[in-house]
Amino acid sequence: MQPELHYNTVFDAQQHFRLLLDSMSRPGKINTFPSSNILPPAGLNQAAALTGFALLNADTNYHITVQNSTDIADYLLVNTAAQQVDIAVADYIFLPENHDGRGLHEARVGTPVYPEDSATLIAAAQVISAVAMTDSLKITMNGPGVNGEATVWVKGINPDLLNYLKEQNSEYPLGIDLIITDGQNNVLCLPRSNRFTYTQTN
Amino acid sequence: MIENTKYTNKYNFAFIDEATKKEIRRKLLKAVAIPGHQVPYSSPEMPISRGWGTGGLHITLAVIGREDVFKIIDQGSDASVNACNLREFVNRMTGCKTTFDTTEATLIQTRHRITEEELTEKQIIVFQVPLPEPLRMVERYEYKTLQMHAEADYAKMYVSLYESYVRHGAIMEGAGYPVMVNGRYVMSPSPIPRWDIPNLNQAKTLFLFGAGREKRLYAVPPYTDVEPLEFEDVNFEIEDFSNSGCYKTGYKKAFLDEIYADDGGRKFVISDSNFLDKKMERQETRQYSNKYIDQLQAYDL
Repeated sequence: MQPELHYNTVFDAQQHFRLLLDSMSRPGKINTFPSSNILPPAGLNQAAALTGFALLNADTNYHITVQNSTDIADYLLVNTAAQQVDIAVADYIFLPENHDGRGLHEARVGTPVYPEDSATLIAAAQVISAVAMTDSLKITMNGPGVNGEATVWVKGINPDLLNYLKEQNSEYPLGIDLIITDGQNNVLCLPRSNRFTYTQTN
Repeated sequence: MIENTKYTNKYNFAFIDEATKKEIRRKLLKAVAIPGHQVPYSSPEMPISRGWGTGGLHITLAVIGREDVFKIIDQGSDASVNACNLREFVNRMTGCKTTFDTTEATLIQTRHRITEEELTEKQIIVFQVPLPEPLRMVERYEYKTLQMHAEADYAKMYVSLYESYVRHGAIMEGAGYPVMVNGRYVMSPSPIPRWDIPNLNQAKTLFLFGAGREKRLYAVPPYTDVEPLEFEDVNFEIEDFSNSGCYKTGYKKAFLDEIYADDGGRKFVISDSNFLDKKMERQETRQYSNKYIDQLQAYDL
C-alpha cells in the first residue's frame, strides 16, 4: 500500500486540527473538512481518516472495532505510522456506524490525577445535520462551549453509544471524548464536559 | 525537472517538528474537553529560554496556519521587547501576516493582559503562563497539589484568601486572581489584572494557556463559567480608576498603567496600546462589558 499523495502532512493536518479544536471547544457546532482526494478503505469515512491523519503518529495508537479491520489498519499504519493496539490501552478508538457501545467499557477513562489520560472515540455516522431530520437522534447539548443550548440531528449513531458515554462521563472529570464524523466530511464533537440529552425523532 | 522543495527551508513550517506539534495538538483537545485542568506536555526546546513565553509560543506554533493574522501583546503593549521578538520569530517561521489591530487578528498571543476590545468567536487567544499552579502558594509539593485538584479539595485556597482579608482588610491578590472554571477546577488565569478576570466568564473566544517552564497547558472554552473565588460577604472587585484617568485621552473605563516621572509625580495611561491608539484617533471600539465595569460606570466615568 502507498501513502496518500493527496495529503499534505504539514498544512492539511494543521487545517483539520483547527477545525477539530473549534468543534471540541464548541460542542454542537458542525464543522466541515474541505473536500479531499484521499481514498480510505471501506469502513472508514474520509472525515474519520482525516481526523486520524491530524492526530495519529508513531507516539500514539488506536483500536478499530470493525471486524476484519486489516485494510483500515494497514491504511493508517502506512499514512500515520501509528499501530493498532488492544482497546484497553488505545488512545483513539474508531467505531463504525450504529455501534452499540459493547466492549467499550475497557476503554481508558483516565485517572483522578490525570483525567486526560483517556481514550477518544471517533465514531462514524451517516449524516450530521443542524436542521431537523426524521428517523434520527436529536441531541440537545449544554455545558462549556455551548451558548445556552445547541441542538443537532444525527443519523447512524446508536442511542446505546450515547448511554455508554453518559455512564462513562458521570464521574467527570474522568471520561471519554467523542468525535462524530459523517459521509459528507462533517465533524461534531461531544467532549466529556458536555451535558447532553437525546430523543429519537420519527 | 523535479524540484526539491522539502529542504529549501532550514526549518519546518512554524519551527516545531510535526511529531511534537501533533503531541501538543492532542493535549490541547484534551485540555479543552476538561476546562481548567492542567495537562502535562512535552515543552520542546525553543530558541528562547523556557519561562520567556515558550508555553504560549508552543501553542501558537501548534495551531497557527498560513492564513492566520497574528497579534502579540506584552502587558497590553504591541511594542515591548518580548512581544516584538516573538512576533518577528513567528513571522519568520510561518510567513503569517502580523498586525497590531485587535479586530483584524485571528490568533492573539498575550502576556499578562486580555485585550480591552472584546474578542469574537473567530479569534483564539493564547496566554503565556509563568506559574500554572494556583495552589502553589498554599502547597509546595506537586504530588499534593495534583491530589488536591483530583479531589477538588480547595479548602486551603479559601483559607489563604481569608487570611489575606483578616491581615490586610482585603483579598490582596493583584494579578493572577484564582478562578473556578466550570464549577470544578481552580485555575490560575496567568497574571492578568483583576480588571480582565470577568472577561473570561462566558466569553465568545477560546482561551488557551501555555506554561513552558512548568510544562503544562490548559484551556477555557468559550461560553464557560469562570468565577473569581470570593466569599458571600467579601466579594471580588476590579481595579477602580475613577480617580485617575488616562493622561493622553482622559479615558477612565480601561485598565490603566501607572507611570512615574523623574520628579516623583505619577500619571496614568491606557495599558492596551492598540486601544490607546484607537482612542487617540477617535476610532470606534467595542469594549468588553461585564457587571463590574457596569458598576464603575454607575459612578459616571
